Amino acid sequence: MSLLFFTFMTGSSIINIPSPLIAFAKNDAWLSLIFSCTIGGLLLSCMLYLNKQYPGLTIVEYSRKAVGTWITVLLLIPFVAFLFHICAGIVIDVDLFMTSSLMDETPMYVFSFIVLLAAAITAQAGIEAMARMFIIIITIMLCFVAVILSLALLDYRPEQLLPIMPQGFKPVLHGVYFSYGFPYAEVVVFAMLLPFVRKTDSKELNKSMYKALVMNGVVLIISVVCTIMMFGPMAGERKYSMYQFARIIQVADIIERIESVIAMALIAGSYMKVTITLYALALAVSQLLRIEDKRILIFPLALVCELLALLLSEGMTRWEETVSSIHPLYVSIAFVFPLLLLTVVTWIKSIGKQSNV
Amino acid sequence: MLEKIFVLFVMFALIIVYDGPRLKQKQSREKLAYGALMLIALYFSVDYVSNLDLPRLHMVGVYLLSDTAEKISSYLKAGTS
Repeated sequence: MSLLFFTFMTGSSIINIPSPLIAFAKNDAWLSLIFSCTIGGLLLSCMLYLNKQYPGLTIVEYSRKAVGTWITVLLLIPFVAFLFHICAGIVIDVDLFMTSSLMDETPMYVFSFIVLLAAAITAQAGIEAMARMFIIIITIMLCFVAVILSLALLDYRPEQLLPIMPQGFKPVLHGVYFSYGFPYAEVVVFAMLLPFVRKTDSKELNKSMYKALVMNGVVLIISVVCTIMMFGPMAGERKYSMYQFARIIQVADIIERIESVIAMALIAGSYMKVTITLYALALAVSQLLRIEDKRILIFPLALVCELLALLLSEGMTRWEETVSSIHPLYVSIAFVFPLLLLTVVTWIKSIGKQSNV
Repeated sequence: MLEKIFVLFVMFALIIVYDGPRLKQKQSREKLAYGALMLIALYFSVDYVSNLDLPRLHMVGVYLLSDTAEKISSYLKAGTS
């Protein structure tokens, strides 16, 4: 489960996060990540607390127990809507990347169809198959990124990291606002998946989930710091700065133009994240509608996500504006608010039980 | 437009051909849910093909949150270069 969690958090963010985060927070982007990772940790602790109080239940099921059916439906309609939004958003990122950087003549639906088809087939295979497959892909992906970051070692200029907070705390706060929205508040998706942990592994669950979150934070901070050391604050002006990073690497005229490796890493990371989200979405919809077999819904849900992606991708600028400003608020209402409400209600009920005893 | 219709036809056909036999063995609740999702997909398909910009749930979120999001972004950008 912690592997799936790490994959979900790191998958597409390692390519998509550095450029806009540096645009907002400039040299202090790494500071923003530390704060937003901490917020992610707090949300994770709420999820793990609820998982402990309601063992074997997803957020839909324990929400019914805690607040009743109708409030659950009210709370979880935005939750499900946002799961659709995440799926479509990941696919839009792939589409926009491919059409802006590599294949500008190819229609967007080609990329989104391929990614969603693969994700739907993988989601149908089940969570265990997903975990086993993703361990290989994420390892290869991280190795690629590590190789690219280390090949540019001689070109780094650590002085680009200074000065710290030259414009005060607001740029850091702006970076926190953005990176909280994507990817840290999205940890709440795992409120649907924690019940799948084997009982034998449940004692180690808390530790391994926190380790996965910290590792994700470290990986993202390293990629952001390396990007700043390479491009300075101008990294924020470049789209897909990790991709630009790979383009300029040249080692002894033998290793050059390795940006397609980053493209592969983006597609692999996005595919893994959309598979996990699609699985969580199918589970949430099937539990809300009280349907036994969630697998039958996976392909129609993938089709709806595909069409949403095609409808929402009205251009890179508009999409970036949506993700950077509206997305953090949307995720707060759809994910964070239900989680916090359920945590408070559960905590109050547990105190009530203790005082009765 | 014809290209879009063809692509969507292929997507729908693939899904129905794959899921059709499995759906016959499912309960009525599952068939209803499946039908509802395919209807939503059809609605979005009409919107995509015709560019009518039909109402979507996402628009509610954007409409309700865009002003607040704009204010937050402006506050965070103020005084910085």
